[in-house]
Amino acid sequence: MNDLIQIQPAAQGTKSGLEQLLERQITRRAALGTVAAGLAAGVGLAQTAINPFASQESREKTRLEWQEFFQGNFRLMTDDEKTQTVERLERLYELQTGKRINVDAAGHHENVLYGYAFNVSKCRGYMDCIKGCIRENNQDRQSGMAYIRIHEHKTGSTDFSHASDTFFHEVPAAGHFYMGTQCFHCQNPPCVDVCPVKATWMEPDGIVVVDYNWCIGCRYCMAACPYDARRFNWAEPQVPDEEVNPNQHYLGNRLRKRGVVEKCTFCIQRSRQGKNPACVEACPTGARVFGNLLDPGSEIRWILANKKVFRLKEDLGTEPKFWYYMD
Amino acid sequence: MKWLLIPLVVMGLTGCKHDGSPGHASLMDTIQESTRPNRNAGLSSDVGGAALVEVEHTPGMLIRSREAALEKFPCQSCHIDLAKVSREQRKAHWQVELKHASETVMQCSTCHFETDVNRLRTIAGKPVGFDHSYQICGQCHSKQAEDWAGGAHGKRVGGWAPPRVAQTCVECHNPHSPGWSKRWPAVAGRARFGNE
Repeated sequence: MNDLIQIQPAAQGTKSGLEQLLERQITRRAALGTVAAGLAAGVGLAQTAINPFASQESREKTRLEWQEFFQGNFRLMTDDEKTQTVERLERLYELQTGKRINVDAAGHHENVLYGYAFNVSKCRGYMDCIKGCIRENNQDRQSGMAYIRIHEHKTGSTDFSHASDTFFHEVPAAGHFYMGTQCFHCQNPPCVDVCPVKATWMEPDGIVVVDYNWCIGCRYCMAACPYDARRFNWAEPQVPDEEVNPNQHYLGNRLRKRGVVEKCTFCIQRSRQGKNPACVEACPTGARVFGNLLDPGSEIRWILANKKVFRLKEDLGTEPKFWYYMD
Repeated sequence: MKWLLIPLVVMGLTGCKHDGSPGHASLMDTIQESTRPNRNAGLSSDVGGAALVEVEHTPGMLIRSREAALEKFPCQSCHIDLAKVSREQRKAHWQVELKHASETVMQCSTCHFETDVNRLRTIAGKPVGFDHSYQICGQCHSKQAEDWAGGAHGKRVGGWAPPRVAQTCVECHNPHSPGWSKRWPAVAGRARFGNE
């Protein structure tokens, strides 16, 4: 037995595996993670020992879940760790449902800053945007969560306290106009400032995102947002397997858990591939325009330069990248 | 007393939020200062396989060819010899009902030639191909045409990345009955109560 644990004197200039292991610099989190993985393996082993029916797959699932529990903040991950993280999510989903999904961790593009314009004269309250958004972003069907709200205003008023966002009748109703709100991706986002654990931040391309694994569900961001853009998962989100959108992004529409905050990400899984967000694509009236604010040839830049535009609560200094305009 | 003022002034000047991130005061500056042509990170949109034509006098703007999409184009294939047209083909335009402005302004012949059926007709009687029907619409709806060419009116084909392909007027508006009808919203009211 002694032979087995005896450390062989290292050859000159090299170190034994055990020495390397002992001298390795390791963070507290990584150490905990390693211990946890060991524990999980132990638990898995014990499970198998007690329950002869416990499969290889159930052990793998336990191990992956432990690893996920101890993963770091997405912004501090190396590229390798990001790859491991999304592969873990893909594998876990496969183990749970037998179906494959594709979770993307693609970063931002240089010289791209996303912006949005909404034509108040054109919106007719059809809400195809909301439907498209719910499906694209795998939102909880049980609670009826929606990132977008369409407000029905009486002509001549823009007072949101007198507008309805729960109307259900033939649209457009005479004497009314419609205004959509969602996350405005403020350039100076108050939600980011108040997050006590830095689980939400603005990406260099201007998209405000949430690391759902890092969010502790304190909902400070919801209190800080002046636009009611954020939503909370009070219960485990329910999305029927056949309706799950398999094209996902880690910072976007991947499946969430109970107790975390989520919101519009300008469909980060689409916009970073050059596509329009699902709401823009679904809108039949063309009231929604999306594009690169840094491209002087883009449609959104033409709107900013040529139409009368305004933003909501501009006096707060939040600098939303979401403008309203009229014909 | 004046020595107390100095740190106060210094604090006042430096106390604002300056964390190196794009600050709130600079957003419009950042946008306005970005005037050089942008490659949009080399991204490109999938605009489908349809044949595209350039919009006249609007560099970089494309639309889908209408002539390529029309099943029985050129129109002369039926109209030159109506005797050879099958019974089914003869019904082709029976559903057309003109609900566009008033009869004094809009008749078939406002936009169509009686002889040169392959092309549309401007108010001044000049021919315009079906691909460029926006020029016919733009004669009256000049404000909309301007907004459409700029990007404030109409709907984009594909994504935000180049090429810029837009839906043309008649892809959203039936030229014979251009108004939009009322309908029910796509999502029921009660389904949207989960927002707190």
